[in-house]
Amino acid sequence: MLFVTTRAMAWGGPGHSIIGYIAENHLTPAAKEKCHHYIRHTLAYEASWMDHWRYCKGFNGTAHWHIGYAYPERQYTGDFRDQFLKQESVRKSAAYRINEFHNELRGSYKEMPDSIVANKIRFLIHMLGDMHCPAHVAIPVEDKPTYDETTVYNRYRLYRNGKKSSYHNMWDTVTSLLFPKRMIPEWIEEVDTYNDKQREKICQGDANDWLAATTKDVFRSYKQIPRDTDIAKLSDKQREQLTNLTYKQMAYAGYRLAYILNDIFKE
Amino acid sequence: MKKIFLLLAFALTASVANAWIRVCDEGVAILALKHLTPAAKSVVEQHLGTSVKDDVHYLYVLESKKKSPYSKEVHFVHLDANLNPHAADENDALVVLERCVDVVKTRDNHSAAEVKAALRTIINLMCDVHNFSYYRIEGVAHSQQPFKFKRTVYEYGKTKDDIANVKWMTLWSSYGNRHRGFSGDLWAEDMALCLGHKKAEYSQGSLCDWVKETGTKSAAFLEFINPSYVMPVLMFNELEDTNYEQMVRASFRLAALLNSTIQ
Repeated sequence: MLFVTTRAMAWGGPGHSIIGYIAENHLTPAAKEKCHHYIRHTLAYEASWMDHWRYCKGFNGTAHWHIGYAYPERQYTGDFRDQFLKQESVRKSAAYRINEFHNELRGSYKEMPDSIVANKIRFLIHMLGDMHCPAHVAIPVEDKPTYDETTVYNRYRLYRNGKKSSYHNMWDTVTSLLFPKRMIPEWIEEVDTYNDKQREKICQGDANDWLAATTKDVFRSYKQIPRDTDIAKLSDKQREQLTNLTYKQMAYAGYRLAYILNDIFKE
Repeated sequence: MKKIFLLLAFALTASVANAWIRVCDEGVAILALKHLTPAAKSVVEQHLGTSVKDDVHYLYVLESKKKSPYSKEVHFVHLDANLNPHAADENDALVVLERCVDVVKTRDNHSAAEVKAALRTIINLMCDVHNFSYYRIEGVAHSQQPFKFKRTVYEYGKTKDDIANVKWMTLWSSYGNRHRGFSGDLWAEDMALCLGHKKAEYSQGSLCDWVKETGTKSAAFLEFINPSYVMPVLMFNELEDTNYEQMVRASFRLAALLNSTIQ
């Protein structure tokens, strides 16, 4: 089975920082203090660290950590950990690594060198963002139908003002596509709108469950913005759907990141 | 044709006048203003109001509208071969800064417009003199004008021979683009969190000391960063912290300068 990975940056521009900022808003005081102790900066600042360092030595093999590997809808069993994927592919994925780091840090962050804890926090910040980005949900190439110009769903052809683009590229630039002049605080006002009860429900499960839920939204978005759509000329309905999905995924990523960090550093 | 010329002039001016990207400069100024004494704060607010968004790029705006009393040289610090400020040029950044500090110090003898212009110039230039690419050093030929060098993009993989061009003038401002969407307030918040504990250390010394310190570091970089240099991507990433520290230094020193000037 072949999955195609990506070197592009999910969300584009401020996307990862928005997720980091939302998470920081929902950290407990203890978790916030610990995070700042280890990474020194705000979560928003460190949110894109993994993208900047991924091509440096020592980060070989982390390419797959940016991706959530998922099943096509019609074969979907709700648990991708079983028969379909080989174990080495599972271990490469963002969902696997998120769960792994969560469990490792929760049990023993105090015994780890500060630099290791800091890097794992940075990885978590970024991977939660990537896994919730629809373009970073990779679908097996054996799934049908596929398009001539690509071997995976998430790179199918779109246009932007008449120029060739792709579904993946759309998500890599979604913040500038939808609201090019918005700064992070303005995004937060629109995105971070869920109440305590809703956030609790959103954070149920683990990264595998969250990837499963995201995959369903991703398939819905393929139908909402089909192949050859010109994304600079979206209909009002398409733009609204894209905006709502963007807001939802960013919020969910931020809340789940906060949930994990609060759990790791709870007193 | 005139329009093209003006656009080009605008672009060239823009690349000189912005120490870092605009929001980073705003963050520097916002953090600085949070550390003013009541007396300094009162004077600054009296002349500039409570927002510094329009002040951080004051000289850039003047230059783009061709209303500047200075040339674009005013952003550069000139050092001699011993890395001492070379004050012969009246448009040198340090010379202009000291002139503006004098105006603010003796503000009762100047018009409100002059004091406002001086404060805005101080805010603008304190960012510039903490940027390594704004130093022209005697005997270092490639520091006298903008130059490009190269950096690797990948350290492994099939594309490990890929190379990107980098401009010395915009190397340090490029790190701000890694945090798009950050407002000036977010930058100030992050800087306070990360290096707020360094305020006392960074604020020590005089304007001349700070210029010499930054100039020395700039000279050290220019010993190996030249038009034929290929910077490893690892170093490119590591220098982000160095640049960040300069921003925080600029911020606390701007506050220290205003506090000592306005008493």
